[in-house]
Amino acid sequence: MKKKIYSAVIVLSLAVPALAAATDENKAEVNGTVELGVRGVGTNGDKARFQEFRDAREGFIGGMQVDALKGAYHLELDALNPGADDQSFQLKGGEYGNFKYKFNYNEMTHNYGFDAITPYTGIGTQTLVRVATPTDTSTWTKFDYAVDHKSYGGELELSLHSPFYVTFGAEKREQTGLRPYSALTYRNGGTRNYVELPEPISNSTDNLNMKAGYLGESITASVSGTLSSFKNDNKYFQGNFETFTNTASDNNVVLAPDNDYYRIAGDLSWRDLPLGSTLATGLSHANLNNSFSATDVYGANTATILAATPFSGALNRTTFDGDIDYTNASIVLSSHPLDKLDTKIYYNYLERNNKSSFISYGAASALTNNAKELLSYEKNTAGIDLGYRLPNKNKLEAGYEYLKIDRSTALPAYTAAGNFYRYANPESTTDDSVYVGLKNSALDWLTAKIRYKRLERNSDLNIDGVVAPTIYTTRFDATDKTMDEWKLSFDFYPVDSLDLGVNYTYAHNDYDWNNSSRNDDKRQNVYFDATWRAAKAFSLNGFVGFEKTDIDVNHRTTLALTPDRAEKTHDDFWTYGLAANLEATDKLTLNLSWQYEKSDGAVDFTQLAATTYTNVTESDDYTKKRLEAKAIYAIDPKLKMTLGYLYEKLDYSDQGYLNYTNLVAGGGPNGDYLSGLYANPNYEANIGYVMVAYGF
Amino acid sequence: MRNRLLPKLVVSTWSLAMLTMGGGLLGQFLAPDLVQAAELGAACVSCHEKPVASFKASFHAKIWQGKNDCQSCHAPTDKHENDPSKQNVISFNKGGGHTADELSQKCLGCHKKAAHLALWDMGAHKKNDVTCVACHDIHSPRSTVKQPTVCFNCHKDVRSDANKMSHHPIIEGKVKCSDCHNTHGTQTKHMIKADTVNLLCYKCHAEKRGPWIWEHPPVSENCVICHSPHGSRHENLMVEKVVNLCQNCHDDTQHHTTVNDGASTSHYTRTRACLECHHSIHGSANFRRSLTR
Repeated sequence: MKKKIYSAVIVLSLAVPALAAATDENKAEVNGTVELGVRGVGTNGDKARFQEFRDAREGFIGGMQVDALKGAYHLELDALNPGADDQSFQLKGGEYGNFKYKFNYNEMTHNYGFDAITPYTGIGTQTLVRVATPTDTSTWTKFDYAVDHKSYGGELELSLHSPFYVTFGAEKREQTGLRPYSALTYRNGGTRNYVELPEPISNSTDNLNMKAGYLGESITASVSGTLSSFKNDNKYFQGNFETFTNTASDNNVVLAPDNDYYRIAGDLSWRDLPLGSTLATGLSHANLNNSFSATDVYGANTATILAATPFSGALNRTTFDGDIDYTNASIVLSSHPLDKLDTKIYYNYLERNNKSSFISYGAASALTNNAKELLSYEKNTAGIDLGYRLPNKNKLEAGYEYLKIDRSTALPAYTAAGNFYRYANPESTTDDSVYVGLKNSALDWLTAKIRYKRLERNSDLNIDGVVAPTIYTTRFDATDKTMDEWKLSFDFYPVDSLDLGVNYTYAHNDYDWNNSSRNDDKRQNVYFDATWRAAKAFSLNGFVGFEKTDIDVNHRTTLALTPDRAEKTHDDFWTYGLAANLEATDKLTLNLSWQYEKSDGAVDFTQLAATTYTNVTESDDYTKKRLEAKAIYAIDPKLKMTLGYLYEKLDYSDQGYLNYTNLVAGGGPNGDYLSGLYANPNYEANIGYVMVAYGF
Repeated sequence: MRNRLLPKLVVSTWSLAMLTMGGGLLGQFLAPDLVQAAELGAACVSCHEKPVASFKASFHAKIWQGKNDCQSCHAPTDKHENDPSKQNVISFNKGGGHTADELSQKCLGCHKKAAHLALWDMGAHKKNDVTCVACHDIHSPRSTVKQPTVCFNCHKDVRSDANKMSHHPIIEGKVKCSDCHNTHGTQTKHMIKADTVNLLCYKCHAEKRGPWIWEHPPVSENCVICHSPHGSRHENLMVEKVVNLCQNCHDDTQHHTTVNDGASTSHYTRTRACLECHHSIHGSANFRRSLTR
């Protein structure tokens, strides 16, 4: 209620002078709309899923939009959903050529799940206390997984009718609430089990931006700087997670550390060069850093944790200094050397240099040092794009791109046996990609495009049959592959009142060297669109989309080179929608829309060894339906009333959530403690509203 | 205390500022020296009543009163008045006979010195013959692009993703296309507003920035290896169901590769699967090696 009052004050504070101005015809020109209404909501099922990013509760609703102009001065104000958890306000304006400004305040709620339960009390604090009988779910604490986001800030640009300008911006982002988390309950040996927990969220990010630039007839240049600081109020939270069965040795959940980021950049663009060229170049340097100690993340448990397994006093340092540099340099030359030829040549250098602290508490070859995981990389990209206009409104395009990524870690401490990750030695991938396309618009009623792209990736990461398979990861995204991609599109305009479109994409990745892991994937998307302006007062829009993804993966359950099973993962998705708009009378407009989505996943197994497997038939399957109807009646030119109705329904099923219980295996030492998160996302919702809008 | 007080302080300060400054700010508009609008579109209105009316109400017409008329964008209309074909005027509609570049140059004639258009020549939109008016309705009171509707007209795969069960709040209006993409041109791929995908994502997800003691290298390299940023049929914008996605890379004799087949009852594959234990998948600040907690 307080929020609605605050918001009403804001809206009125802005509306009153705007309305005052609007009533004086000799003053500046002020236009706008004020809306006020009431909404009723009925929901069955998962309200959190229905309201994941929106506040769709019943009650008063409203909004306001104001535009004001006087000479070169302008001002725009928007207030959306004032008083709601997803309210936003924006005020922007200025004088052309002189200055402009922008202020905004924005709220958003992210609802993950309502009515979750946990065998802990102290929800929202850094200390969770286990209930006396965790196997009795009736004693668990109920809570909502939800995080409120707020951001507010402003920006001012001054140019003072000169070719120079400076921009200052400041913004603060805040998050508070509870986010899903899971913690191992039984880590130091034995069966691994987990408990779902509410992570206490309370953090903020402060951003400052400054830019100074020059806007000339031919040259545009700027220097800019960014400062960003992330502060987390909760570096950890703790509880007796492991005392379900044994003595606690490490009961801290370590959360995101604070960090500071800065970036400085310079950019130059030079137009009107010979051959119709424009040259653009940019250079930037950024640094991301932080510093924290064991005490920061373990709190009062620090001494106990450092003395126990696995540290046993062997931690090489109790502070961590994070330090990552980003360097980026790019240059692009676009030209128009011939009447019908466009060219673009580009080069980009990007480096991520991770200079963070080396942490170890055991032998270098064991899993007790971070040297192999601190990723650094260099990326070199170079390419050329060509576009040539052929006779009869044909346009031919072609291009080539070279991309080389060199990945490495700080210390060359790699030994094959027992290592899970593979960044001890510099490893690289090289992509060569070419494309060619043709666009034809010779006919007034048809535009057709076809485009083919091929990518060949060569990598020294390949392990299948090359290196003994003691390395347990196979990054499919960084191994040898070839990709073929076809894109087709047709836009038809058979008559002025009808637009039709078809878009089709086929992409095939063949991971040449992956005996195990992903070895092939195919993606096909096709979309049909139609707009029919059937009459002056009636139009129809419709679309149909179909997406099909098939992924082939070979797996092994031993370290043998030969896989023991092949999996084919199918992700099918299709959707259609229809919207109609009818201006029934001079005063009455009707909108009606319907949207349907169906997601269908499955995994088919092919037995390659003795073990047999059962196909998965329910994998993130869902149908979602949405109906929206709206009638807008103009009571008079300034006053409109809207009567609206929204229906939504989600039906979801997945093998992983069948026969869901909060206590798996009865709880206890070998059980899991689940909170109910995502267990029943189904919902059916009806919303009705009436809104009055006054325009001025 | 900060968390409870700060929002109230901000809202109160904002309200106070608006009450005092809002009137003042608008006050500069109240001075009685408004120049009456010139008779715009006098030569065109007899045939193009609706476009002229909408133009008169547009930002373009109002902000530069008397300096812009229909001819400013559509070229001199003398010939068109005698022979009213689209070819005798610059028409931005279908079948006008002008190239996308020629049409955009009409806008760039005034706007080319704008900072955000400095890289227009480098962008994918220019390359793909997208004109300014494909997105901007300059006859409307505001020329602000109606995101994401306008973007979805061409980017149908994005429209499809943004409507899926798991999605960024794009259709809810909380994330705009232009928050991440500079549609007027950049030197980056996909016209993103940062040097890398990760640095773009970190603008909102600062808690994912690290630096971490223990990194998950693909995460540090590129968020979109695992996430489909506009939307996905899988929870948390994952490109594939979590257990399947993880097992694409993690292939060994341990629990990581517990088979997720139709008969599986293992808690390694049920519910949120791998993420139930490996929650710190984006990185860990625990001195102990762990992507668990």
